[in-house]
Amino acid sequence: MHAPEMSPVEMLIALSLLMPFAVTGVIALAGTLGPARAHRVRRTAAMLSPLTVLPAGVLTLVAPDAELEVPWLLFGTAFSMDAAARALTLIAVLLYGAALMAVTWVKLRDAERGSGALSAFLMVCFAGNIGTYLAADAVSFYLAFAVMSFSAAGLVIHYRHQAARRATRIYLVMSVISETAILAGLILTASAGGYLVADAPAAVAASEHTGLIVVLLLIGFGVKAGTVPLHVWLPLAHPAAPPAASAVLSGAMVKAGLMGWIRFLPLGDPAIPAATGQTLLALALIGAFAAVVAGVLQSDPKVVLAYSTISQMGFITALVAVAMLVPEVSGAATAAAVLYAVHHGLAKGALFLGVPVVKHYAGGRTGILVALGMAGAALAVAGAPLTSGAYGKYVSKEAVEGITVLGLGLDQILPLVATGSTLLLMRFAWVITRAERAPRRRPDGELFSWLGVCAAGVAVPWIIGLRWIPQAGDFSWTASALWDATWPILLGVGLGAAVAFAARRGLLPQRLSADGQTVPPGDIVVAEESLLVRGGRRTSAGLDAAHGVTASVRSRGAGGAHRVAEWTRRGASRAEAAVGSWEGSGVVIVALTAVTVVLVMWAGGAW
Amino acid sequence: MVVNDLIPLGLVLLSVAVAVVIFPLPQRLARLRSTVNLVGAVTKLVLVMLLVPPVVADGARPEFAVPFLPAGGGEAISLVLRVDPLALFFAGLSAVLWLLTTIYAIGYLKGTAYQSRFFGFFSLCVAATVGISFSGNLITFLVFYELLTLVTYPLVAHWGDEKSLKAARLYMRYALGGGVALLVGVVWLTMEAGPADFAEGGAADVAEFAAGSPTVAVIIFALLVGGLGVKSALVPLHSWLPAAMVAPAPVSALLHAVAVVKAGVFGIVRVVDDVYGIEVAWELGVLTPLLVVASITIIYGSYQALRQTEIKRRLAYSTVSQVSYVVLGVTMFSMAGTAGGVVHLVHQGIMKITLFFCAGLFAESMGAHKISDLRGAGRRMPWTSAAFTVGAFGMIGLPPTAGFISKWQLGLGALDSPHPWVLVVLVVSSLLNAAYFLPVVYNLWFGEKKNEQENDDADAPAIAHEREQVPERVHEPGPLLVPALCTAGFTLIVGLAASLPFSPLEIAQFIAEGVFS
Repeated sequence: MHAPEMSPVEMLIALSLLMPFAVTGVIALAGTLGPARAHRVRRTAAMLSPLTVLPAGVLTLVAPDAELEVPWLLFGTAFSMDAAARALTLIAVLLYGAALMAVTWVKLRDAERGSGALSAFLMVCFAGNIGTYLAADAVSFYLAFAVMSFSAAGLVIHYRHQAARRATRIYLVMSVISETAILAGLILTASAGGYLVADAPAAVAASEHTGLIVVLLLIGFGVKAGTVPLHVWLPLAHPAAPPAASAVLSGAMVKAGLMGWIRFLPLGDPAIPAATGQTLLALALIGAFAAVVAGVLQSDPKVVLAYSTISQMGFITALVAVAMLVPEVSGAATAAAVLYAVHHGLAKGALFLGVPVVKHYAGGRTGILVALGMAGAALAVAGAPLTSGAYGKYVSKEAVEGITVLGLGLDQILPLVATGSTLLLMRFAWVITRAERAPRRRPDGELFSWLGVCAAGVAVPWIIGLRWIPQAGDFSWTASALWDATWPILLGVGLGAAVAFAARRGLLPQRLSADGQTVPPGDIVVAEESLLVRGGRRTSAGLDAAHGVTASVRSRGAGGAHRVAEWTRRGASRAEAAVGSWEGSGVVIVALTAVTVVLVMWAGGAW
Repeated sequence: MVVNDLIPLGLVLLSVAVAVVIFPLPQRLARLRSTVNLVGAVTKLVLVMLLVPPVVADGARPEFAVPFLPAGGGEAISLVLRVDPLALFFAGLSAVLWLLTTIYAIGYLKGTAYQSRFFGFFSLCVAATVGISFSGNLITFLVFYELLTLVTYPLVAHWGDEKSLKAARLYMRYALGGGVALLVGVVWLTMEAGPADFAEGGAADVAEFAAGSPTVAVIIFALLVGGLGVKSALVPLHSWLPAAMVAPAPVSALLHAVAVVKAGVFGIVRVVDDVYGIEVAWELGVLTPLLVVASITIIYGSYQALRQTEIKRRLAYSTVSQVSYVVLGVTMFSMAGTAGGVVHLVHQGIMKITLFFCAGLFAESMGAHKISDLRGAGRRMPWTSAAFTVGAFGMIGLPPTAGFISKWQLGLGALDSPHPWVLVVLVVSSLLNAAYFLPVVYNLWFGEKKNEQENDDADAPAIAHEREQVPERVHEPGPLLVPALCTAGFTLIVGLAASLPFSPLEIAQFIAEGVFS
């Protein structure tokens, strides 16, 4: 190979992306060793799997502007680190590391069935996920995105029950739509001169298909980011997947969609048609609030959390829409979106990882710890004072100051998302405290990894915001900031209490029962599915009819040809039989002679 | 290596020699037959690989010519065998796949009757394919092309049952009909413009003739492409291909990946790029109609594939669709598009042969013929399933497979060309490809057999207990599995390392530059 010497930092990038594949390879190939040894090798590899996130972790800490070029790979690929990539990669490292620990650093009898396969899918998904953050060109971005999307299907289907299968099917359909839209968008981008991520936004803005590219990328990445109406896979996939997997789906993977927007859209460029930005803003706000309504009617704690993710991603998407619409604030709004994603990733990750922790450790000595951690994470999601959520919301509010929607200031609308979050998390608390318990004796990886994410959630967003993301801006606890963080929660608590009171008194309509029946998880997908099935049936019936017609035409044509063939064959064989006899041959000779004579006479001009 | 002018002839005769040795061998000498086969295949592969650097990098063009027909005026039309980059590209594909398919066929036909006949015709088929790739003018091409039709007939009819014979007859009718159109076209063009040696950027005589009488040039183009379109399965000339699926698996693999279907599109590439020349063809206005036909074929083939429930039939319609990517690329009139079309000659070959190898393995080892039979096969035949998955992902065009390289290159080409709408065709076809390949992959890895499904509970992890019973592993025979794994590996390697020197993509780009020079 003509590869030049690699620098340690380049090596670190390569390791970050390849280590997960190497260990996955060991797990996959262990099958060749025979059942007993395969089991041991797989278990060992799975135990080591949490370590595969370490190179990436080190990379974020020591190399804020690392770069790696691999000219022979695909169409020539490049990876590079910047503030956004650094922040989100660190979150991915923490979440995937914790998820892998929760799955594998447990006693064998407590482990998930097939934890080897689960950790393999988690590792591949991790490599793809940080790949989308680090990619510096369109093709490696697309590669990473595809690796992430399709390996996540392995997480969703893990339990193999009917609900998991349905969730996986819907997830795959949405992913294919997403991948296809992204592929078309990226080919258009590359064709316009935006092959490198650094050139992409300008190239999209200067392209003659700006509107088309923006719409394609909004749809493609919107599926991942859970933008209404493309969010339908989320409330199905999250509860179906094992909790550790849901944590990375909700905490890290949905952020890859955000990264796609940041990388390729010319945010703040007037070349984007304003209607696109306005539509995105409208959809984002619908998602932020409608998800609350759908979410509080659910009875599965993880479905409630999934709707909370949709609501929170609506918040982040609103920031992206603002960055699109208002050039002056696009830098600040983008930074706010990244910071908010950092905060939400850790807080939501802690809540998802906490679901089995509550089940196993809520009783006994660990009970207080568990209650504290879950309450802290929930308060962070709601944005209570002193939490990372308050910081994220503060920065976002600063960014959108002065922008109005339907006459209301966006900085007045967005805090209400916190009210919605409060309602959702109250519902979550209600549901999970009534969930089935299964005490486990000794603390293990499941508990420790969850504690780790909780601890990271307290500190990391602040460090990232104040040190790593320059545009995020400074922050201090003024009285008004404290009040801004508090009133939406108080409002939420008040509303929640009122609803709970009304429910107990039977004042609510019967139809609004919160059992996941009124609004089934996945909400509009149910309608879409039946529409699709009916539409599909009708189309295929129509096509069958069409095929029937063409087939009958063809067979009639063929039949005709057959009949003609049959006549000629019969005629010929009769003739053949006739000329095959002695008498016949004489007739033929006489006839031929006659014809020849006639022809010769005619040609000679006898007439 | 000293590049000798006899090399192209030697490569054709090598496969003929293998056939001549094998035909008289008695059935029981299996080992000797296999040795001869493999020695021939390896020799050919080594020779072709050695030719790559001198021909591509140094511009050597070894050529062998022998007078064939009198052309009047004391001149003669020659049979010409010449090695140029495009020829080498196709010959390289056939050399690699011949070797692998031979290994596969030895394993597949083990213990069955009439093997000498099979491998004899198999070698002749490869000889014809090599001849097609090295043909230096249309007459030579025509000779080998018709030869290919004749020697593949016994292969399609190999099993000798009613269904095979019927399919072989159908194939013969289509192929000979196409052959007649091609013959008329070639003779007519040779009468009008001389033997028209293939040349980068088109033959000068043909360009002159096309300028003089464009209408006749268009008619001849239609005859040539119509004739070639039968083998390349352009809609509506495709019906023979799904029927020919009754052939033994290695034959289907070879037919779809390199021999028959590819010979057709390779001919179209030659006619468009090296006989008429892309500029002349563009000015005649024949490219756009062909582009439209290719687009229709791509969509229609995918749609039909979606309707099939049998594995091999689904693969067959997928071939109909995928092969037209090549035609799409060379007719969209842009350099990037031509590179995308040409590189798909190789990419489609390695991906589709992987799928056929696997389909054969599934059928042989598990008796699986329908897609629903593949439920849960991932646990029973993990290697085959993995190879199939790679091939299927390639067909969908997911990175980092070869199929992604083709699709990206074709997409860029479409946007560079006068027909940006072709991107829509590519996108729709990607969606359809995903729609008919992903469910198969899903069945392989996540599907459960019907009886297991019935007692599947709505949301009970209790089902996990049933998963405990690991289904029995099915033996995956080595001679069948290794070729499949090799081509699956190639699918990944040529995708990943697409920008290395002498990668298919690099050579295709080099060829495309020649076409537009």
